[in-house]
Amino acid sequence: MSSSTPLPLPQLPPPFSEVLDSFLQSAKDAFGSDLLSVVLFGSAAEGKLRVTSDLNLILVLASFNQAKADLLRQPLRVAQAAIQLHPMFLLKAEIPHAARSFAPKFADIRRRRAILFGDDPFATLTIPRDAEVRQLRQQLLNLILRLRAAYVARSLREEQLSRLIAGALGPLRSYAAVLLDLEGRPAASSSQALQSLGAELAIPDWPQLSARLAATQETHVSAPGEAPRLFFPLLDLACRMQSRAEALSAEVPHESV
Amino acid sequence: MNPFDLRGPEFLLFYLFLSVLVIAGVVFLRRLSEDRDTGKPPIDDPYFVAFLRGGEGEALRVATLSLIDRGLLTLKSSGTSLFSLHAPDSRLELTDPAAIDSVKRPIEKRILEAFKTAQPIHSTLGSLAGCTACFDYATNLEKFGLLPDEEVRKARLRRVAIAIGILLGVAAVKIFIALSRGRTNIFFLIILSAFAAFIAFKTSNPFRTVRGEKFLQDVRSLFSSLRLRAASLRPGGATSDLVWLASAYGLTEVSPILFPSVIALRPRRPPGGPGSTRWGSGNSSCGTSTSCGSGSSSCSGGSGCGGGCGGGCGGCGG
Repeated sequence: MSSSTPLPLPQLPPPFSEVLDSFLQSAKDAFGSDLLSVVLFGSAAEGKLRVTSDLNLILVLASFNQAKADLLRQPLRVAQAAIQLHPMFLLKAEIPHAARSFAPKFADIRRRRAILFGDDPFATLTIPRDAEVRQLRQQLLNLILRLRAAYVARSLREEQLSRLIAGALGPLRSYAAVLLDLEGRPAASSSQALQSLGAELAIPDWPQLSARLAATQETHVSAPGEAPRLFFPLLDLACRMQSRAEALSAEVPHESV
Repeated sequence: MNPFDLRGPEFLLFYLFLSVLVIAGVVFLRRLSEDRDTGKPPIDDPYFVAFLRGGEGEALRVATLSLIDRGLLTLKSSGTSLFSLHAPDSRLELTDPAAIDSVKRPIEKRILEAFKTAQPIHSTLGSLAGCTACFDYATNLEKFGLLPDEEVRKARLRRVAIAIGILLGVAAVKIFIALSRGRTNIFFLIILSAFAAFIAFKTSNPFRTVRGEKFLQDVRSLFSSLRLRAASLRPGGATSDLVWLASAYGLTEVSPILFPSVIALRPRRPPGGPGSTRWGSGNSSCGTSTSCGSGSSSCSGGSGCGGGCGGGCGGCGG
């Protein structure tokens, strides 16, 4: 498992910082002492927000009370519209269960998190390796199956394919980081994890391909005829990552798989 | 040197310079006096922003769009194409009477009540002008100094009266001198003075205050990424994305492919020009009487100011 030290607070560009500060204040006002921690995770925690990025938060609560939650409804809708804020309302007692049930996600959170308020609720979090490996395999396979189906269903319209690629890159980066982490070679960031894996897995023309993929993710568009040329290497990468994850699973004791 | 002794073309040039100076003075004084801090306005009600941007008509239209998107109002059009949605006989009807009690905002409640039975859209929304909910928005906007209140309106009136007095007074003196000297070529000066007075009036009395303009810019900056996502919003009302987009940027920013009902709500300007209720047009999607070059309107409606004042220069007096 990688370091459990949270990242320093990132410098978010406006209007993200303004809206996030306002939402944070509203959450404090609404939940009062029930609000134990607020954790920013994902690309925002790394300070790598794109214009099209969403912003992920975990509000760790002592209890989820209707009257208090109601106070946060309006501020949340404003924040959702302004910066695509996606909060998770997690009770402190649920953290170990959530980490087991959504192991790769929490591994990612553990890796890329910044504490906006309160104590770090994930400082001592242990994510069971067997659950992480099993779910990583499951999620990679799920991504591959969805990509294939979406390609056949949507790629006649090339702009749809570009959006598909843009949407797949985020999860793939995150899975790459989990994979390297499970292999005992944690990467500095999820982007770097995908960079390393792309090179290691011998994806043809990887540096150029990687740059084009990043550009497509940024703009959600690609040059005419380019999207299919990006899609299949991406799918190939996902398949090779899946093979690596399968190899990992062999290291897990039989009864826990 | 006495400017009234200047020859025709030279005097017209002098008058143009004077007009620019007077109008700039009016704008400067308005900016100075209307930027006082009257507390931070809340950003929690999209209709508040829609009202600020385009008047009560716009607030009503945005609220109606939201209610249609949420399935609380049903659009009844005479045809099936998108174009038929803009037909004058397009009607709206309440989907479920219980919805009137379930909505939270008074303006939504009022709209649902108005469409209890199928009613034509524009005339019914027009009849809601001045409703209590709209009045409350206007009062709040004035309280926060975003729309001109009585005091600001009086100050504006004083300033514009002085400005027009100077402009027309100087022109009148020159015309008097010209006529007394037997010169009758005063046509261009009359045109120029009327135009200058019109511009002075328009620039001195915009719909929003300076503070209102700034607040609207802030709101638009806040929702700038939402505008980039406009083509991928999802109907159904699960989020407030649609209503904030329409409130901050106008109905023209809403995709008619994703939200066809927006076509039926886009304003139709009547032959007599925009409505003239106290808080803006009931028919403009981008506010009424915006100042020249305010740059805050999402479309280019409104007054026809900003045109050049070139043209040939005939003599006058002299």
